[in-house]
Amino acid sequence: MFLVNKNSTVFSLVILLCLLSSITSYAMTESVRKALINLGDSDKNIRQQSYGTLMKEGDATIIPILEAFISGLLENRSGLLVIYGPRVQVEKGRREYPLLDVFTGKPVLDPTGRPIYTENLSSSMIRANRTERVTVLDLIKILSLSHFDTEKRIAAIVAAGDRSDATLAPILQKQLQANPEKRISDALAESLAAIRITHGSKSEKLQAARFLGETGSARGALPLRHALADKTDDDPEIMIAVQDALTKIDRYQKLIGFIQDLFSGLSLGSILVLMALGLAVIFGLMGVINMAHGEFMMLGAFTAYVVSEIFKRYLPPGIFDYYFLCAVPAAFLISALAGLFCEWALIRHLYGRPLETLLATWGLSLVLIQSVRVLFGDTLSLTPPEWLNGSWEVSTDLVFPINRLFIIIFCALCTLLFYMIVQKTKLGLLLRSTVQDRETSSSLGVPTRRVDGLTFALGTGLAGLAGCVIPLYDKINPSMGQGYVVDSFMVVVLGGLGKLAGVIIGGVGLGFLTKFIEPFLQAVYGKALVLGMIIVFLQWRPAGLFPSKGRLVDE
Amino acid sequence: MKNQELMTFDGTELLRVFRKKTALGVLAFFFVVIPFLGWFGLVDVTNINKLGRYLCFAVVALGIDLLWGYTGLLSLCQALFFCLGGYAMAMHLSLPEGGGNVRPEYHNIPQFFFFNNVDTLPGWWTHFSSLSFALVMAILIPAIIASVFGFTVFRSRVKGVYFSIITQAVAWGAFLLFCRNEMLLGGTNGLTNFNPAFNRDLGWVLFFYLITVSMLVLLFFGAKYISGSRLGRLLVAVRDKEMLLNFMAYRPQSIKLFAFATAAIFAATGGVLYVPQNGIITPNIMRVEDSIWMIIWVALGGRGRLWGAMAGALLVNYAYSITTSDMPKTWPFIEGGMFMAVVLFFPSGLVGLWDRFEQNVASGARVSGIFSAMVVGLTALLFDKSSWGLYVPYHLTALIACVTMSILVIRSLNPSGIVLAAITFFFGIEALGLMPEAMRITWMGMPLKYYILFIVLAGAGVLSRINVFRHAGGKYYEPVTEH
Amino acid sequence: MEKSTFYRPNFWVSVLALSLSTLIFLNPTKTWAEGEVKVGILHSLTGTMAISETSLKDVVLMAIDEINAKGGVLGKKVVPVVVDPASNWDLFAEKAKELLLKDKVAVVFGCWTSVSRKSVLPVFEANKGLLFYPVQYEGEEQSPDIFYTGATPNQQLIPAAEYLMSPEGGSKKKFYLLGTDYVFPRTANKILKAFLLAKGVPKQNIVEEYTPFGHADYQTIVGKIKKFSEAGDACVLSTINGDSNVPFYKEFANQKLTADKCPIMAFSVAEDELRSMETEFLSGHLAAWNYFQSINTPENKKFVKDFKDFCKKNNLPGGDKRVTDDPIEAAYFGVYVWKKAAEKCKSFDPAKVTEAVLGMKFDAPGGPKQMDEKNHHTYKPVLIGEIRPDGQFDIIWQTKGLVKPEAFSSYLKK
Repeated sequence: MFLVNKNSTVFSLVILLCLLSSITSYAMTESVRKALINLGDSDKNIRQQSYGTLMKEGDATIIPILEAFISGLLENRSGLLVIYGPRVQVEKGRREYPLLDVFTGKPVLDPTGRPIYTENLSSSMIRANRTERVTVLDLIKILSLSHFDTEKRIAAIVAAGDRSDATLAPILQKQLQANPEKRISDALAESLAAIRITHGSKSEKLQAARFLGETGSARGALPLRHALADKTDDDPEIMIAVQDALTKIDRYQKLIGFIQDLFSGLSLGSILVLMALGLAVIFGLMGVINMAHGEFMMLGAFTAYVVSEIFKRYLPPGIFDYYFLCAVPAAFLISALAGLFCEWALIRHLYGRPLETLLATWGLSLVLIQSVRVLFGDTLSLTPPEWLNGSWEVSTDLVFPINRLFIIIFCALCTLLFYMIVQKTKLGLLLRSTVQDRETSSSLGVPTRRVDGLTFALGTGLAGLAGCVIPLYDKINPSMGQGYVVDSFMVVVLGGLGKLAGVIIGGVGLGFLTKFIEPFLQAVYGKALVLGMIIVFLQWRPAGLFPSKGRLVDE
Repeated sequence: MKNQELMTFDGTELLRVFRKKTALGVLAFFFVVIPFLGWFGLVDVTNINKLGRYLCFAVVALGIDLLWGYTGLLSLCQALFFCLGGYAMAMHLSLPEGGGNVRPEYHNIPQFFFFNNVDTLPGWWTHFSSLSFALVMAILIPAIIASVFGFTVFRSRVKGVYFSIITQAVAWGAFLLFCRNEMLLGGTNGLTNFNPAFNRDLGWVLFFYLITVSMLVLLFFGAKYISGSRLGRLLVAVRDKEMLLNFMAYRPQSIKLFAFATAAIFAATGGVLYVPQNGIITPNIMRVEDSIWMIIWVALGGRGRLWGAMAGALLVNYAYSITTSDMPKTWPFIEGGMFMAVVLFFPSGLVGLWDRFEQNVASGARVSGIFSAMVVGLTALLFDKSSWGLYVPYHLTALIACVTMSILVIRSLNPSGIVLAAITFFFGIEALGLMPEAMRITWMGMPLKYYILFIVLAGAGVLSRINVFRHAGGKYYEPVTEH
Repeated sequence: MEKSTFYRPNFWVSVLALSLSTLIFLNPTKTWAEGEVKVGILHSLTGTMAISETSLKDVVLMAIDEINAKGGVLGKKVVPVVVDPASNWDLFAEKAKELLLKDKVAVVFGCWTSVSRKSVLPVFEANKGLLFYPVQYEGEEQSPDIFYTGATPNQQLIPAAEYLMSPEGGSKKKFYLLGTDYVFPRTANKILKAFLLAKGVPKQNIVEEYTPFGHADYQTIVGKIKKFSEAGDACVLSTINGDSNVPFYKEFANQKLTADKCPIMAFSVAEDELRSMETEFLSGHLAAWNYFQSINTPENKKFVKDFKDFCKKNNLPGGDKRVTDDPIEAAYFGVYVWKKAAEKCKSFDPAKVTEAVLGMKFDAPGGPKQMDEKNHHTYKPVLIGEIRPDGQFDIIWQTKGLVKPEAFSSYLKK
């Protein structure tokens, strides 16, 4: 057990108290208290009894306790029921569970009057076994129907519909009549329809079928299918209505599937665009094949990791969620600086020998990978900030994970920014002139060498930005870059070097293509097919979508 | 100016003799010395087997040099052609007719079929029970694929880096496909369970070794003939001024196609020879990374010169093999650093070093000392074989060898010669497994032998600096490369 | 004039070279004296497999340290020879040869992937070496020169499937078999499929799918699983390898699938993979192994603590945040099995040690285990663990006693 007397913990305690304030604000009856304590009893019958009591007398206030019970965060400390709260930062690099009294919601104090923290779960945790967990879950579901948290309440309502539990229909009906906010009433109506399609009267069934058909959710299709398959009703009218509803749902689901694929393709494509932009600008300007591009991306990912660790260790936990705002510029800076250094030390000496840069940057990538491996080890994972978790339900069944959405927006913004830099700033002007005609620009006083250096840094910085967002859905390890670099080269080839738009279309197009093929073929064949299609495409346009318009006839 | 004159009037003859002697020496070393040492157990079977395998890589490197060094096409799918040849051979070898180790409980067909719910040999596999069919296929399939792919790609005038990236895509796609178990080629586990004698018994090992060396020499002269012929000049013309060729009514596409297909055949030949000596083939050596490694062999050896490519293949592979054993944690730094250093400081690779050396020879440097020193050193090391039980003679000989070596080497005082000799000697004795035990004393994670190597290399570097310094008044000889 | 380009012998250079070379060649101390025995460690430290194999190298080094601290084996100090096969299968065979012939090691601890084992197998058979292989694998192999301290399919797959079909495990009726495309998942799924069909699960309720190594984009597949599990009673049996697991589980959670509705039973996810990863969203999913770090015995607690201390002391990445898992335990007790066998037969000769290992009983951190009398595999208990919010596993089910290893699965016989 670890006792803490640091001021920083006060802050986290406040948060915790807010979290559990719901418990304290209600008085609990004695029988509920007793039933809760009995949850940990070794006698099965007593446990069953307490489930019964809780079912009858409990209310939404005990839900956090039950949740702790099923996730194994509840402990019976010699008669005192405690919850292990969400882990907080107590000391540098150490996250520990605070102990909270179930009934008061206040931290449990040790004899000296300090709150108790512990790093590990104790061995005397009480936890529902797997079979009983289903009972507890049911219990939670019923109790949640009147949960004070809207999200949880909706989830509970939806679950009730899924189980098509006729006993819950009155409760749902009653709640529906109370005219709650729209989201809740929608859910209530749907669940009610799902229950009625199996348990209702004829008119109720008809109405339910029509309703389900209109919402078009895949969830609604299940009771419909059951109704169709069971043939409990032979009433043709109902059957037709059900059939009708199912067709409607199918049509809707297909549309949803299409949009979902589109979304997946876009999110894959946007990462590729971000990677390929840097690659394209480096290659287009300097003719350098940067095999270490993936490693600059990896540097970005590790920078994001380091920033998150710094936030975790040295800053109050409340602002941890905003580390990402810090990680983005940091990743860009670190990768760009590393790029600048490499350009200065290595690439600078190799201009005019593009194929040899391949060799040198390959060596560079070996060195970078191993340096990071020595420093950080192999397995790491980034904690995404809270606000990037979860998903956004756009319409019935159409769910966009927030992190993917963020990636798309982020990449779009970066691309826009990059476009602005190229089009509107002086550096961009110099860059474009150097790309178009190096000699002439040079003779007109453009410091082409310095432009090269800055462009290389800009390119690697972009890779660093990509590296910053990739850990939101992927692992971080020293060799992560190698998986992306082949794809990004593909994008560059596909798009051509003539225009920025080429890279964007190439990247997004490749993303769409992959994602539309994947559901039909398995991932591998999909990828192989895409590669084949690229080769065929290049037959038709050997220098990509937008070939750079050089002044020379050859190359 | 003065030196140039010197070359034409005095040096050429010297150089001709020197080159002839060196070539004979190298041939004798590979054809006579190594089999002899192997036969009498002075060099371990394993080491001969390893050399045999690395020589297969040298065959691949020859092809790459024709394609990249001469024609200027950087293909990143040579490892694929290597594997195609290898797989065809491996299919034959894994069947009972080819000596494959099959078992009745798996229906007497290669074991991996069992994991794929296949009980009888698929039709297209059965043909591979004939060796000649397998050999023909091993060459034909890569050649056809290269031709068809090359035809489409060159016709649409994909060139430069675009060509590299497309070939990379091909290699990657093929890798993904070969990893699929449905392909019935063993998935990621590849093909194995060949006759274990192939890389265990001295007879077989020497057999494959000699075949490989002969094949390498044959292909080397073939490639040399090509590069020296009119066609060879056209290849270089494609590299340097493709447009001009077009104007002169040549068809650069067909010349490129020829180079690409030839390189594919070279790679496939390497694969065919590699598989029995290696004992397993997996899609893992088909990856893009492996193709890049192959390019690196050639780059390090020096492109545009056939023997440079071969030497590069041996050098890089031995370096990889040795450093991963000696410095398991830090080898990527050494290797990566080496590539960067070579690109920055020795852009023409080993070949450049050799050119400098030859120029010294042409201007009359005495270099026989270096070679004699190497021979003496090698002989001394042979005494280290503990089976001889001759510790005292060994140390005595070693001492004499050291003294002679140092004197002879230093007498010739030729920086590039010393560097070349040090590298050759170092990797030579590593390859033959004759490195004395004492050299493995490790200090700061690096065995002693590397310190010595680095000291010698640094010494040579210092020497060349002094050279320049002393003769700042005179003209320091800048080597002229071929291109 | 042209001659002046070259030097006359420089006195100092020759003195330097001479003294150096004499120093080296006159040093007659054989570094590996009589009182030492060499053992090889053949795990990838770079490349794709480094992520998994590095920990095994660390634990073997720890075991050797411990043994040396207690006086070594048969009075000899154990000297580890670490090489890096760099996740390159051809290099595995080469390094194995080198260890056996050049370093003359008494035993080798190593390999992770099936293909690396296949690659070194002929080397060990040809040179009469001895290899301890610590990872669960697909079976169908029994080399006289290899001891398999990991699980055979029947020690992991079948109990896990049985558990999921039992009321306790949620009476699952639909199974999504998802794996990385290599031989272990292929065989595992073949066995699982045969088993499930034999148990009366209809064919359309079993889906099989494979992804390439290092696959990172699971959007489509998780979408499929979501559809598959819509009607309930579904679970995923995952043989996804190593680093693909992170994106898979993340996508699973993001698409709002939960362990209560559709649990993932993983056969390749262990504590080491979950280390330093946010595991909150994994909570409730399952894994089947023969060992978990959370095994509550004093021996195991000591082992875990020792490993953490070892990593911290040697400044290994991760330090005391490191965890133990099934392959780590198997690699660790492999060293002790070898030690015990060598002491039993009083020899380091692989043939004699092999004899001594067969049928040997021994204590491992996870409890007492036994080597099979014949088939070179290990008797092990089967445990099913549920991922806790802190990345450890709650052991929710385990076999009574040890399960006999079946190198050749009966479900593959047909």
